[in-house]
Amino acid sequence: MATTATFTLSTPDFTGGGSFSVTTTLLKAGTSTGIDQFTGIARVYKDAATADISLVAASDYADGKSHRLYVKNTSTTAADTFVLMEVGSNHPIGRLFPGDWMYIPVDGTEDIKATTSAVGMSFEWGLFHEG
Amino acid sequence: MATVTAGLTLSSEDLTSNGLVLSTSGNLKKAGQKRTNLDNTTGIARKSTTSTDQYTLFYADEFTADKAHKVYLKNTSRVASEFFTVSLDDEVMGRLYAGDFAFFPWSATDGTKEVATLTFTGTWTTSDSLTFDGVTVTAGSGVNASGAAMRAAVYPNWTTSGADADCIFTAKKSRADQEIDASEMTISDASGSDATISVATTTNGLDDASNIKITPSVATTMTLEHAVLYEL
Repeated sequence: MATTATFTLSTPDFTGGGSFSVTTTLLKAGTSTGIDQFTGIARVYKDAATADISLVAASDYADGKSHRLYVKNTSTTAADTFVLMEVGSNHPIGRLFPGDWMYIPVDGTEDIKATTSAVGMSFEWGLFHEG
Repeated sequence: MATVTAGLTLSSEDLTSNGLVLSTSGNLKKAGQKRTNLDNTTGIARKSTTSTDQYTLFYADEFTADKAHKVYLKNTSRVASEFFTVSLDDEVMGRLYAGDFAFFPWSATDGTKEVATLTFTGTWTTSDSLTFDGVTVTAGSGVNASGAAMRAAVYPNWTTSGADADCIFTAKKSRADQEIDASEMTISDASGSDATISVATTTNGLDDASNIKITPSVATTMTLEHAVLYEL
């Protein structure tokens, strides 16, 4: 299995910098074996602002592994609406404003939850995992 | 205005039967604004460590809370078993193994800065001194002058305010491990004039809820590449 993730950051008029790119292969924790399980990309739509939408329930996954979570706020709502991402006991990670995305490691010991701040918001997400 | 575009491509030929290509890209805007881009960055930097001690990479109270900051992290190690544990204060988010990167929004939620009031009591003269936070301050003539001298000094970890015989210390960073009391202040009572102090905690400090903390997995050299793109 070979799954790759490529991150690009283009900053043409930011401190005179050009683009920056990083590519990595998604491997199982501490090995050279590729990740072989995937939840697929799910799309979530909420009619109302909704708290604590569970994306990753830690109890469903092995601890101390190298799972990776992708989330994107696909809403077309107002610019000040957001999807608040939280880890564990509602510890804030950050706010995904419309169009924002994130890609983080998840080690399976803490839940990951999302809260939509307004009506009619949507997001997509997927977890690459080791079971 | 700076234009910053962040993209992610996830691809696999064999994870799913038809192959997978997911590509997304977008300009990084300020919170709640459609047209105004993020315009500050720490730059791409690297930090090497030779210990498994946890350290704070980014202090939340150095950034405005609840904005659209973005954090980039990468483990530059080439040894598959080496990883950094990434935590938000005391909550573990995940492990970055060799070559892995992360890119995520950051709330930078503030904690609470410790506040304590030092009061000069007894009799103080200009031959006395008081040492705190590595700074030795020569006393004034009397408690009010000594308070003024203490407030005028510059400390590595504290700011000062107050009046008369008081010096109110406020921590520069939100931390839970900065409880101060009289035992951390050393009096040099050269005049033997019964120079005394009292110290009272006004506010107990708490770590920032969103401090980004890193724990290397091995004590050999490990290097973390990092950056924050942020707004004021």
